[in-house]
Amino acid sequence: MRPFTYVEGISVADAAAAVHAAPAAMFLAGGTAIVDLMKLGVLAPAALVDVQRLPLGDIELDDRRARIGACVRNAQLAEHPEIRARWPVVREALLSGMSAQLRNMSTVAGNILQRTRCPYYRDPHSACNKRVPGSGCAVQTGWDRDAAVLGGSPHCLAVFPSDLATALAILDAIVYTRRGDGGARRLPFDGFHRLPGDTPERDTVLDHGELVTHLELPDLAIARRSHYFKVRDRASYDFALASAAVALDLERGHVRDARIALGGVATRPWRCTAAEQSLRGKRAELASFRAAADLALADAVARTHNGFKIELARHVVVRALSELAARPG
Amino acid sequence: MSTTSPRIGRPAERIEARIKVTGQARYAADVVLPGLAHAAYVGSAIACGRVLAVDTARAEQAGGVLLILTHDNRGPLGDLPNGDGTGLTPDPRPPLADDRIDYRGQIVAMVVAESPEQAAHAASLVEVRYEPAPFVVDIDDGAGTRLSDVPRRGDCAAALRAAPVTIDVLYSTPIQHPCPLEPHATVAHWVDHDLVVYDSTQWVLGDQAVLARAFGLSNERVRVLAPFVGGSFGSKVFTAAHTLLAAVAARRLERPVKSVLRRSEVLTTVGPRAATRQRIQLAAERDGRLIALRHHTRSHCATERDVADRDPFYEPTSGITRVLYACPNYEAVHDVVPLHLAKPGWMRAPGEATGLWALEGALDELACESGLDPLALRMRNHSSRDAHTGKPYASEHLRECYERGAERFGWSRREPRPRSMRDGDAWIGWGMATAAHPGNRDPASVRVRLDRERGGVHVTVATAGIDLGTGLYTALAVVVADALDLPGERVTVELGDTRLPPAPMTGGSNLTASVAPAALAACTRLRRRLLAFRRAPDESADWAELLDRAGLGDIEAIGTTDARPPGERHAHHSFGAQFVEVRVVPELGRIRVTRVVGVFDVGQVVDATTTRSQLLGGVLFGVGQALLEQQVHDPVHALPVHADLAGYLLPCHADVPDIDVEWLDAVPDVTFNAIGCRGAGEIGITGVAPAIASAVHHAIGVRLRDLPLTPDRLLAALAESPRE
Ligand SMILES: Cc1cc2nc3c(=O)[nH]c(=O)nc-3n(C[C@H](O)[C@H](O)[C@H](O)COP(=O)(O)OP(=O)(O)OC[C@H]3O[C@@H](n4cnc5c(N)ncnc54)[C@H](O)[C@@H]3O)c2cc1C
Ligand code: SF4
Repeated sequence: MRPFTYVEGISVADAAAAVHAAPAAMFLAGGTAIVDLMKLGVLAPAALVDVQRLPLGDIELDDRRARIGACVRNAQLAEHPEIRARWPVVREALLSGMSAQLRNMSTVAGNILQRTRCPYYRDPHSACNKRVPGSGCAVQTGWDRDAAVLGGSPHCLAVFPSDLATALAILDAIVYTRRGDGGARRLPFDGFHRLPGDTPERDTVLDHGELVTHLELPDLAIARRSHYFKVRDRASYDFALASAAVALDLERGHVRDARIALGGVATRPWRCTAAEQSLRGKRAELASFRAAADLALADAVARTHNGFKIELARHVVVRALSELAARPG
Repeated sequence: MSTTSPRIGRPAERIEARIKVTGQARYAADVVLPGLAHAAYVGSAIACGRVLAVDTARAEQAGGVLLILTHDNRGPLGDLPNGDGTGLTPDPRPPLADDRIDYRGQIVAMVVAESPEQAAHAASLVEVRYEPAPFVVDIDDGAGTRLSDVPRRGDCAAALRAAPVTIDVLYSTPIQHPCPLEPHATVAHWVDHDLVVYDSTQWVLGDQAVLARAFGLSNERVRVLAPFVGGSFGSKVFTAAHTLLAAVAARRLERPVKSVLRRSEVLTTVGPRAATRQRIQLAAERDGRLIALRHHTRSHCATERDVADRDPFYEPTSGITRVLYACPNYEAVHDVVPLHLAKPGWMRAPGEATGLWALEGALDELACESGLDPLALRMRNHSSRDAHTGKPYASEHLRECYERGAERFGWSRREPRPRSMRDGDAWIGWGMATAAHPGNRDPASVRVRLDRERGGVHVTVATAGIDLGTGLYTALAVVVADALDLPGERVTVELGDTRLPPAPMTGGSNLTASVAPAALAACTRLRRRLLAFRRAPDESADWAELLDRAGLGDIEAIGTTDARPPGERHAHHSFGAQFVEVRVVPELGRIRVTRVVGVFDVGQVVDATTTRSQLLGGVLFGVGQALLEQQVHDPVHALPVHADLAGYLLPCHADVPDIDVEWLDAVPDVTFNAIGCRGAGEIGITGVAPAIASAVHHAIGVRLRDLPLTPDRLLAALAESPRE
């Protein structure tokens, strides 16, 4: 690990300005993602600006929205009774990931800004465009069992691993930021994470020194019936092989509206609008769910060892929708 | 001393529990000495080739750096002992010997600095230029070399040709890693030209022999201490490269040096369980009686040089397959496949955990093929003697294990047809397998000393043997307290120091069986000497009183266990029966183990608490082996894909089934040793994986023959199976 300076952020504006001013500075939140990567020699910030003491640790709620501070702990968000009631998919996604200790330590912003688990990204000796732009992508010829089947490019096939982000993708969430030059942005979650294309080094549209201050969840009737379903190698404490965040608005056994996003299989949180569209007006039954799942994976591309994810993700979508439709209320 | 004594076999409290949970137990990495310096390593970025140059200029400028060792300046080290029984190293070539690279992660430079952070940082600044050469890291890509001494009996080929029922199947196991919680750690310290090493090892005397040879010292001038070791599972038998380097650096710097491997270094440089490819051919009568068993194994070893230099490591899969079942014709063939990977080693139940995966799996297939119950098939082929040597077991209760296990599990209610039990979205399956592990015992000695103290006596038991967390402290305390009829608080146990009476490496479930009888023998001697001071033969023995009468403040005796005589009439073996229930959700690729019942015959149990945890832990190890654990290497870039514990998956709480372990009581193996105990450290794992796979087959009718049974494999097998 390279020596670095540590600064505790005092105000939102100062913290953003401090990182903005130093090209090799980064924000530090719970540290559960960034410190690992520093130890591996993948990230080598010259300075860390700690954001944990900033006044960004509250969840504010009214009947129009939830405003979630960037430094809210993932455990805190998962346990909030009103989040549980109005956006159950958020809680389920969080509880399906990490361990209790990690959820206590890590923050909401850190969660949606975590980097890929691609093993070549985490190994400084490997070719990896995400780590060193232009160095190549070892996965293209290497071990691709965990690689994405959706949203990949010849430059990167890395899965974006956040469960929370998959849930947020169906909730019309908004990311609020403060930029280093003092400006602020309001970024729809839909476009927040980028496709790798030929610049996989940038996971999101954030600029250097742009601090996430809040996430907003607008009140959404459909979110009350929402659900997260995840399949992983291990029974718990493991990243998704495939997961789905779903929401259903049902009326007399028919789907009025639906939301579907995939996790564990794509290079960014993967909203499936065509599949959602196909469900509208259909009976909430297996056949409709299967058809939607086929549409959700229609563009999937298998590599050598990750083809199972396509079939698996289909079943995950069907399972998520079936379980949700069977829920009372 | 009788084996029906009051304390032996009952649940004791772990005597070292308190100091462990309060942090007072000092493991190697906890040792702090004045002037301690810290090591970090640069591992090779290529899997094969040469180091052209190591540029240490930037690293030397970094803060706190004291020393950088490479193959250019490491200085002389003597030849290392290997295979002569005195000590073992993973590589006959000492570390940093030359510019040759045999595997990715091999140490190419060592940095020593004032703090661990400074050492790690400086290590990241070392620049190495390589000349890469082609490599092979996948056992299926490598060419095998046939090992010569092939055990056989009868005529397998003829029997296979003529048999009414035959099975011919391929089973595989991946590279798996022992992953002890405590990483490999050493503190090396020179005191007046003598070497003192605190090490995380299974064998202080092995370390001593290697280090003495390397530095040209007599053994007495090397002291190795390992009072506490945080797990090992076979991975700390060898004296590791970093241990030798820590001693080199400490001598050079005239300061103690601490070296703690990072998790990624443990996972890439410490020998894992070798990958295997196993072909099992069975020939049987229609009633299931075995006529022939042919077992062909390929397992990986280190580079070609390993094969050429000396005996290469091979995963001893056939050790168990040749003895377990009555079968007149048997043949084992073994090929080793050199790969550019760290040399593999022994991992918990080496040979049994892999060999039984293949054999028990094939037997389950034979049961299906012959329309027999898998348990009935085992019973039919049961052997009360070592099937290869023909020696009868001195104490053998496998049938009883089968029967009790079946009863506890409810096996008789099993409907043989696959896909016959369903609950909600899951298919339920039941499977079983035989568990087995040989009884091992090695020469050992133990000193027991009685000290006169206010209010009585205090006993100190001492041996160089090591408690890996397995329970030796407690077992010795139990045996000695029992033999001298003293309360447990009066007994102290000292372990893991070359200055203590010699004991063998902890391995092969041998240690309790070797050391506990020696402790008993020492107690018997002490008793005899003190009882001579009784005034009447029926006077009760009060040790304090007898010491006073003898005019002694203390008294000690050494007890020993001998090597097993070459011409033993009997064989000694532990057995068990393991029954498993799984729930399978095929379309999600999901296999969950919900219930495991195991009944074992391990001879006389010394302490129920630690035996139980060994057996439970063994079962859990088996669950990991079956469902999760594998170390994959990218065949193109040689990258170890899983180099941390977020990627190399071990079972977590949610993976742990309801485990019911039981052992047969009152089955001491009295000709094995004076207590009649065999070890219980490994047998728990041995039947788990094949029982799980057979349960999966019972659940959904799909046969999985490659470990681990991951979702992608299950989905692929389903796609190929005609059923769905
Ligand atoms: C063993 C393990 C298992 C895991 N399993 C899962 C899992 O199953 N599912 C899952 O979704 N995740 C999993 N994770 C990842 C986990 O969710 C992240 O590590 C965690 O959420 C990161 O939060 P943090 O606060 O610790 O972020 P940090 O590590 O502090 O920061 C992460 C990144 O976000 C940046 N950052 C932090 N806060 C801000 C801010 N306010 N504005 C701008 N940038 C910011 C940092 O600069 C850094 O780049 C796992 C992690 C580990 C170590
Ligand atoms: S998939 Fe992306 S993260 Fe992985 S090696 Fe390729 S570029 Fe790097």
